[in-house]
Amino acid sequence: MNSGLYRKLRWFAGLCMAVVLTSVVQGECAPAKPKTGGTLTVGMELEFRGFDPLKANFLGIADRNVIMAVEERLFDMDAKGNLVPELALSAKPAKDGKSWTIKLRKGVSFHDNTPFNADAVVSHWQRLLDPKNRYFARYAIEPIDTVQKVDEFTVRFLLKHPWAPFKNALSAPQSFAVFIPSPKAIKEDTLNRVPIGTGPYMFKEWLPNDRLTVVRNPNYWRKGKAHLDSVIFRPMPDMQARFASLQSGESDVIQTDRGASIVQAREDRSLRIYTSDTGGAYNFLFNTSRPPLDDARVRQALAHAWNQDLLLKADYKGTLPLAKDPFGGLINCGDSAYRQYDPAKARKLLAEYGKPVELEMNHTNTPRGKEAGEIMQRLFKEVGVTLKLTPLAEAQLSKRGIGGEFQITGWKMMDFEEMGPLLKGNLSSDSKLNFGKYQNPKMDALLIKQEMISDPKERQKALCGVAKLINEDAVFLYGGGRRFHVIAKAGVKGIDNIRHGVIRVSDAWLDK
Amino acid sequence: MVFGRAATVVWKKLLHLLLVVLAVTLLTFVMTDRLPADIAAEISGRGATAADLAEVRERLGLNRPVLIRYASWLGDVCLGRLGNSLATELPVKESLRSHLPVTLELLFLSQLFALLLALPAGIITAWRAGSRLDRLTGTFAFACASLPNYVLAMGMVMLFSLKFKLLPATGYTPLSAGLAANLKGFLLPALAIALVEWVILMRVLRTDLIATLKEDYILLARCKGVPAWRILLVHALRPSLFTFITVLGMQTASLIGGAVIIETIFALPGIGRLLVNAIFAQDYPLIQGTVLLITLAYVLINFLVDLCYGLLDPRLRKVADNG
Repeated sequence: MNSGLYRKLRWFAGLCMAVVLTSVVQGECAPAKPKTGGTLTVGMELEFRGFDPLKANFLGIADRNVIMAVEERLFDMDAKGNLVPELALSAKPAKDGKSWTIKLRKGVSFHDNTPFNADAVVSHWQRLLDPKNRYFARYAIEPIDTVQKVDEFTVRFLLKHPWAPFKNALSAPQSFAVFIPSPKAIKEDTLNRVPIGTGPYMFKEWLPNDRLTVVRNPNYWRKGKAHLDSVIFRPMPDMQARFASLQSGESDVIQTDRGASIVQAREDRSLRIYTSDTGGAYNFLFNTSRPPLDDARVRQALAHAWNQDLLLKADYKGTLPLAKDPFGGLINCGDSAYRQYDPAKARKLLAEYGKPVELEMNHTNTPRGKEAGEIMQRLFKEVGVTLKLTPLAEAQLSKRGIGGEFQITGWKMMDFEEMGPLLKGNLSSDSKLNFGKYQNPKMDALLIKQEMISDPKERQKALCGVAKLINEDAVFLYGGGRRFHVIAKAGVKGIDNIRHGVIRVSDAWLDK
Repeated sequence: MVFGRAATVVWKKLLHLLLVVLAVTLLTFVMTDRLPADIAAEISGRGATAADLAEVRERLGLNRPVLIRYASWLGDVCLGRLGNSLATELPVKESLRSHLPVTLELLFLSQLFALLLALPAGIITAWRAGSRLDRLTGTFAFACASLPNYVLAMGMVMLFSLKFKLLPATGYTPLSAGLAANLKGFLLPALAIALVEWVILMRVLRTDLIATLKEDYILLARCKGVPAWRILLVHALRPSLFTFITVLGMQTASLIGGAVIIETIFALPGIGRLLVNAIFAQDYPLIQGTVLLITLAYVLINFLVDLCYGLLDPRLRKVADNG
């Protein structure tokens, strides 16, 4: 074979290879075009609480998913902390930082044809800010003094003082306040059962304990979103049943925090796991107002007797991160004086205390609650502390926790990216939400400081100070960081972003 | 004349059952009242003042004595008003109406499956008592009875839903979406209940049938050359059904609010789940309404069972007629 022909053949083979590789790469990497149609069935852990902020009080994980499909926020927030316009166009702070002017989007209507405008935004926010209405999470928006209408499509938020977390208060999807409902639904007092917003999907029906169905909004203002015909949200409290429903095909997506299911799903090629880390933590609250937990030495001893790592391995099969502070990696506070598992130190502190320690812990009557309780009971026994376990239904546990009727109780710190307002609510001496009755002037000063200052570095320093003091004083024990898991069939697309456990169905589509 | 006496007996029974309903609902009312929870605080939300709580208690009538509140509730019930759920604000009647069909269908299918298993098995094992077939059936029956129904349920889900993909693992499809889809969703939960229930039915039927087959009139029928199937089904079965019917009635009644585990595993929106959720939420109008429904169903089924006795044995009707 002469060299010319050989070169030509080589060139031709190379060209063929390049064509094949290009097509393979395109097939693998290029984002597929969303397909329209189909019904997505989502398995949730709990029944929905309702959608009126004044009646449902707070958004559970299940409610967040529904409200995100039906109602919209003024802004979303990206991973870098920038506001991303939704129903608003822009947000501009005043020079003194004590007010924000927000321009609203024109030409948007609620599902009941009520126009979206400044009146809708003002009436919603003022309803929540009015102390007479006793909005459950008013502590989280307390620095907002009032909301005024500037013109038909402009509103102004007046603050009591410059407030760094304001952008989060406008966008955090775990907060009821950020979702703008139809003023007509509020007026007619139907919002709690029939959520009406401007979102990509419209409420169709809610059959208690069975399903909540939403259908595509044909007039949705954002073109190219809402690909599904409908979405069915189904409460399935039994985790094994929920996982089985995914495997057998009745559900397309489920939410879970059970380690065994997540590990099992990892081995199943037909399933995809999506995770999202955030602030907050699972924790065990101490009631610091009653003996023996009013003595810091006892709490510190229990913190050294506790082995969070063991809990995460045994109960969650390593699917949750270790928590040393409430910031979930969003702020780097280093070690935060975290008290490591050290039974010898625990025994020494208990010996200093000098009296026998007998305690009772409330936990949920769920498998995770029982397992955590039993691990704690065994670890405390090793250092000579008797722990009696009291399993309770979720509602009773919350009630006793809120009412201060506990010595130790299983608890959850909400999953905010901006933890300042929640920490202030939970740890300030005079706060009604300080369920552990923790009192420390040093902590109060740090909490006020983090709220008042705008400089990010100084603020972070103050927040890290709070985290350190939590561990030094052993205000509570950590039971793992907040990490959300969603397991989906491989054919479910567009749900990569599950921040705060929310499946954003506006982007979801089915590749079936 | 005879009809009049029968009517009197029925009225007496109904009156007795009414007293049962009153007693149960009063007891539930008192127990709900004694729950260690403050419903006013629940409704008022965090941060409520004493005045707020008093206002809510006044509005809901919670500051009245429990007996007065019970009488008021009873009066409303007589007018067909069950009130609204505190948690969902839906009328209690509507909640019951949406959950009852699920429970009734589950109950009907599970009892049908239990009967289909228990009747032939009971008859055959009584006729062939002590045989290998009797022993085999007994072993299978005890194996079923010794497994809790949730274990059976999970096992069936693994087999029929996950391995063979024949039936759905969870969920309820309303009849309006098609009979086949609806029945598919109920097969596993109904079987999970039936596989435990049929054992008791089979055992009581077998025992009673064996006793009946030793009666003199059965011996006479055999001597007269009456075919075996006729002796069993016509002469022996009917008088052997008393305990069977009683147990069937009790089982059916207990399933109205008692299938909560199966309803939870299969995510069925039935009365059991409704009641448990209402208790957890301390939603007392819904608790009262659900308990009332369960009690009414219980007494009604037992009333029907009592009437069945008369149908099964005409001698009982005569005893009743004679006072």
